[in-house]
Amino acid sequence: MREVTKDKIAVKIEPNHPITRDMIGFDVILDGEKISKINSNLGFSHKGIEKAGQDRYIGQYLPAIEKIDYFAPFFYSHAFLSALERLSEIELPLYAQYVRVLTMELNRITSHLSNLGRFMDVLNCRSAAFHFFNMQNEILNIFEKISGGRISCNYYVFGGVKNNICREILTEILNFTSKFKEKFKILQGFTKENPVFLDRTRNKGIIDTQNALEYSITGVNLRASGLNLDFRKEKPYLLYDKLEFHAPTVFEGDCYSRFALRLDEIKISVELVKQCLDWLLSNCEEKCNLEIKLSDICPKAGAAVSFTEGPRGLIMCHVVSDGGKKLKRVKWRTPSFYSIQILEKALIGLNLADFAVIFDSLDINSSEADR
Amino acid sequence: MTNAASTGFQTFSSLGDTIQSWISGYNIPEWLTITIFLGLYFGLAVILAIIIVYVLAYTERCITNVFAPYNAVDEDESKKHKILMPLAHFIKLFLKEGFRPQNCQNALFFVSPIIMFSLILCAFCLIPFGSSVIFLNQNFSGLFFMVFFLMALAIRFLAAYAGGGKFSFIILMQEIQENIALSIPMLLCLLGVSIMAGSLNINDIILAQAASYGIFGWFFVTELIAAGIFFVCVLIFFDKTQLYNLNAPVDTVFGYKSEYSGVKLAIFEFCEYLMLFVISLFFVCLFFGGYLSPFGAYILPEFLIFLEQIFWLLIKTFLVFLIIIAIRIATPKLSSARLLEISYRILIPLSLINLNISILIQYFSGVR
Repeated sequence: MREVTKDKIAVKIEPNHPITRDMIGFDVILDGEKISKINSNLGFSHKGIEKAGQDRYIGQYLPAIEKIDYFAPFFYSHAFLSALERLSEIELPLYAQYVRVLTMELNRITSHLSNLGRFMDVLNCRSAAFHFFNMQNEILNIFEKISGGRISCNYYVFGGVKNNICREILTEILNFTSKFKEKFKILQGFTKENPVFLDRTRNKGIIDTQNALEYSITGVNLRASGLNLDFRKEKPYLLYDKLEFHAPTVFEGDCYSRFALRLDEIKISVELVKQCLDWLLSNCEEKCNLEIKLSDICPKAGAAVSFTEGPRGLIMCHVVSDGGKKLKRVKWRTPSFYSIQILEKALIGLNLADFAVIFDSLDINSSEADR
Repeated sequence: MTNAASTGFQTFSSLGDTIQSWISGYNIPEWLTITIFLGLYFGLAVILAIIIVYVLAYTERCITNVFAPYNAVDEDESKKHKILMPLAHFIKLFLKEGFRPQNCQNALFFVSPIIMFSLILCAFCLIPFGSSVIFLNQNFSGLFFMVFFLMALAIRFLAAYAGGGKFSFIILMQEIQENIALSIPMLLCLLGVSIMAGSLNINDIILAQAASYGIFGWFFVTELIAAGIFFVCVLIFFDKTQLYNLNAPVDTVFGYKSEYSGVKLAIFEFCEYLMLFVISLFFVCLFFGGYLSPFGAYILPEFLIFLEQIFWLLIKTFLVFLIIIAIRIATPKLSSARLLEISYRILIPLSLINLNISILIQYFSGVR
């Protein structure tokens, strides 16, 4: 703030500002209408998740993990549990693997849809925003039927999943995927074919491959700037090496390519869900017999790391255990924390009105960044 | 065939005359009669405005429900669309604490909503609702209307300055640019129409559109470019200042209203609905024949014609309002820079061309 002179204005974008939505703050210095410097303030929603992992029993810690990112609860519980399962050398039953892939891909769709919906709300296009939210809502209803929770589901357990998905719910998911093609056309009409959308997102907030790597950005944001790094392909976990899919890459690195890539990823996720449904519908009577009590989870001593490709990028969980009921150390790598920092580079020289566009195109969830 | 020009039923002016003669019997001084008249006129206008805004607020909610339905709410819940909801929201706003920021300009902060409201009422009173239902009939009422309307818009700058916030200041700069860029083509369109009609009086402009063949005599046929430009300007004016979407003007929080709360905010919201209604009234008067019947002749008998005229005017205005709201819900917002580009590169040159065309038409037709 010391650099403020007569022709510069210092503006504070605090958590109550409508751009941020979540608890995050920015100190912006404006030179006329252009942004000349920007600093991000984190820590408004710090929950002490890493320390809680050391203090609580593992069964108690599981529901807390989902609060890291309320848009992607399944990814975080999988990231934590797969690290524990790797530590204890447990192999998941095939049924549980299929169910995990199914729910995680559905969750990826909801996360991307909510991002696009919020962005359309920023652009003041309310009908598009509600189309996105309604589609997201259909999947959230399915989550509620599977696990009993819409946002924090707490569905995965150590060594599998909590309960079977019955045939009725599976057919409901099948209906959703079969109806998806028509709805996707509407979504594309609102975004990719909309001249105002193109005008506001094309050639703005360009991040090249070099910058993206320097700032350690992953996920869709990295793939939009030209590097094909998908951890579902790179270090395949669960069934991802058996399922057929491709991760598209774009080279422009602007806001438009990020949004377009997110739309494409929704399509790919639906294909993955279809492949899982094929297997699950023929084997839905299979029982995943789990009789582990939550308080009895007791991994072997040692350390393990898990890699999960979340909707916002790479989620990494590092777990250290001494063989007791409590863990010695839990360390999270959350992708939004890295995406926030590139704002300082991508935004300089742009108007304040472009702030919302670039902030939303990076798909930042400040709750995830704070942990 | 009843010509619209020759409807001699003087409802409002005859009513005024009787009241005036009744008052003058009691030896009341002239200044008091004038104030009583002004009070009556504006009281009537305020009551009308409140009814109109209530209807508009309710219809906007209904349209939003159609274009942007939210499925998370139960279907029964959303179908029971409550007619008293806008009233409840306004009461809630009126009961809220009026917060005063530290940096505000005290007097301006309290006065600016009232100035805005009174200016928009002045513009409202200039519109003829029927050939005899006119509150204020001025020679230059078209120009006066634009002056009052643009002044009411300019009060937003005053409000933003009085609020003393930084975000208000930023939008103040943006909106001054936009207002200048958009008011020039609007005034040029009005000029083109007034040249075709041979007058700047709104009532004369409406009467110049009267023809036995109904719709095809209206100015949207001969002044199609002007109608288009005017409509685009109205759209852009009211696309920027959102009514009920708090998230909308994201780059500048809540625009000029960001420092206001309670009653003052409610008055601003009220004014924006009224402004949208008044400008659609004006648009209908200029290009869609105002209170004229689309069939060329009136259906009702002569002593009820004023009711039919009000009906036609309100129906047309309501349709324009619906179209504006629907477009606003279904399309994304332009950035400020692109908006200026559209205005200076497309709208102003086109409106100048339109002005020249209408001058040439009048010159060669040799009517005036």
